Amino acid sequence: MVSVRALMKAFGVASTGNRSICLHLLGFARQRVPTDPDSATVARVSLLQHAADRTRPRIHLNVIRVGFDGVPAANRDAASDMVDYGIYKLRNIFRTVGLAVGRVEHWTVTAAQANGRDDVGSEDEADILSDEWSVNNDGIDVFVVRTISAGFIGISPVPGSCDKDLSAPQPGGGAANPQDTGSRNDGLLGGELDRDPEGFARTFAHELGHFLRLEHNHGGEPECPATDAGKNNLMAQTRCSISARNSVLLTSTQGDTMRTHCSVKNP
Amino acid sequence: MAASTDVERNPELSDPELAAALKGTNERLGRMSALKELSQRRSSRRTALLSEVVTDPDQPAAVRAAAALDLGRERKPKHQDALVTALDAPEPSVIRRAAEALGRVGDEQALESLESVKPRGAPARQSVQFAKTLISYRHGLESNHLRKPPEKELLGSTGMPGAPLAVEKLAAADAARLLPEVERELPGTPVAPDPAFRFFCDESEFVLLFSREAVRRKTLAIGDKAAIPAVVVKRSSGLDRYYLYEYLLTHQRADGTLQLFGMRSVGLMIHAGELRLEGNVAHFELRALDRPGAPPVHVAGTYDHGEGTLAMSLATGLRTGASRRNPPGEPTKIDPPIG
Repeated sequence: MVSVRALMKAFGVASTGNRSICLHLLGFARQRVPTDPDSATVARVSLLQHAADRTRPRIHLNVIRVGFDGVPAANRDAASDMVDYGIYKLRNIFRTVGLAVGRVEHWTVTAAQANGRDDVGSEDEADILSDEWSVNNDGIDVFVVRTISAGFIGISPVPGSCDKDLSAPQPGGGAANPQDTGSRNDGLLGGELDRDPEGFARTFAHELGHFLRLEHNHGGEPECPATDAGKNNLMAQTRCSISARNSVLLTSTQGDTMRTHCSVKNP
Repeated sequence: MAASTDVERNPELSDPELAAALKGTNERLGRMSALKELSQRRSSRRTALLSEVVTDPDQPAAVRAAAALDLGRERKPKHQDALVTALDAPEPSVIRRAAEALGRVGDEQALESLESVKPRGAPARQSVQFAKTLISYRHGLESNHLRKPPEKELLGSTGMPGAPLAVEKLAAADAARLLPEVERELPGTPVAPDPAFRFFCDESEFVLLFSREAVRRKTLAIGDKAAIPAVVVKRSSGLDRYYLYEYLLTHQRADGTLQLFGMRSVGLMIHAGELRLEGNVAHFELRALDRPGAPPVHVAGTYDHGEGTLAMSLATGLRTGASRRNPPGEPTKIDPPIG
């Protein structure tokens, strides 16, 4: 038997003071289990399952909302619910290949601070967003913006970099890393608000797959996997997938690959 | 390292169905998804549909802005007309993207229209200013020139020679393969497949491409007027996909020196320095600005147009005294009250 506070501690979450299971342990910003887009289904979480996850390798996330203050007040709860659903879905997807999602923290960059980057219009703009903002911890920075005006719906380096310690100043003002040239690939664009929740969740997990070394399981457009199994794999692009909800499968080989990434922490 | 994208397509929809979706009358497909589909396909109705969206005040601002961005991928008179109309939009986000698109495809008439635009909000104002800059440099005009940043905004140098950077000259056929994607971001700045040079920096692959204007003759055509002599593209997903990373702009100062600037695609200055010509050989030196988004490097090199060679060296830029401004900002943590 393990206590909730011990579980939080196992996942690197501060366990003292007033804590919320939904927020601090499970990472749901709305402090409740998110809404399943299928109205016939109720999303459920299992603390027992989460307790078992503490024995598994895990990643930590920083979910960075960009420009959400510009979302009309009436739509903000739905936007937050969608992000939480993405986290919920991600945990379920990655768990199938033995990879847990540990600490999830929520961060924000206001529209004014973003200076236009709450609407990403090109790959270079996605690059700049990740260059301009970084959370100084061991979590993967996942940006969620209001709009992506470019032709993609998410983007990530393959693989992502764990080297986020580029901001520490050195005596005399020298660079933290003499080899540092500032082309940080330490963040990814997990999606935009202008999507349906199921599509958003799939892209969120898909891009994290890329960050953790996974490539597409098919060639460039117009190619798609030849089999249904391929199309149902998480790493098929959304344009190739059969259904956003169910085309989220991972193979054990893909799980093995993801677990070799530097951001994966062993228990 | 490469980057990879997720893409959604709806190829089964006909152009008329897409047009209906753009009007918001398709229950299954939203306007933005319809726009993304339209931007990916070759369609004879593309210009007409995009222009309609951009100039329609009843369209949501985000959709108009995205359509404006797309109109900036091809240089056509009708595109410019629609974009100039969009400069009158009440929403700064629409003006911003219309300005960016005009920066890529607009001519001196577009520049005139941009001169009178004073939008609300920093992003829109910055885009308008950078659009004016791009048009001016593309057309060799004397206005809207960039200013050398003050010394305190630049990273210093160790004073030692930098380490040589391995540069590989690309075969013209290899460079030609990456051009179609790049040209969508540079419709008003035709680039040449030869010469082209590849180099790696911090595990990312870059290619330096020259404008056709700069290298089409035996004599290097740089320096006599403001110009965009070269661009740097960065490798993205797939084998042959690259995106615009940095414009290199040059103009002559009153004292005769040639200023050289590196600007990210959104108008962020990341490098500043000088160019010195010795016949057909260009010596350049670029220092990084001390800001997020600017790789903190000091680059120096020589391009020999006659020999078709490029040599570069790289050093990490230093900031003395106070800690660097280059590090990224940290977002604000969301810590809602419990319950």
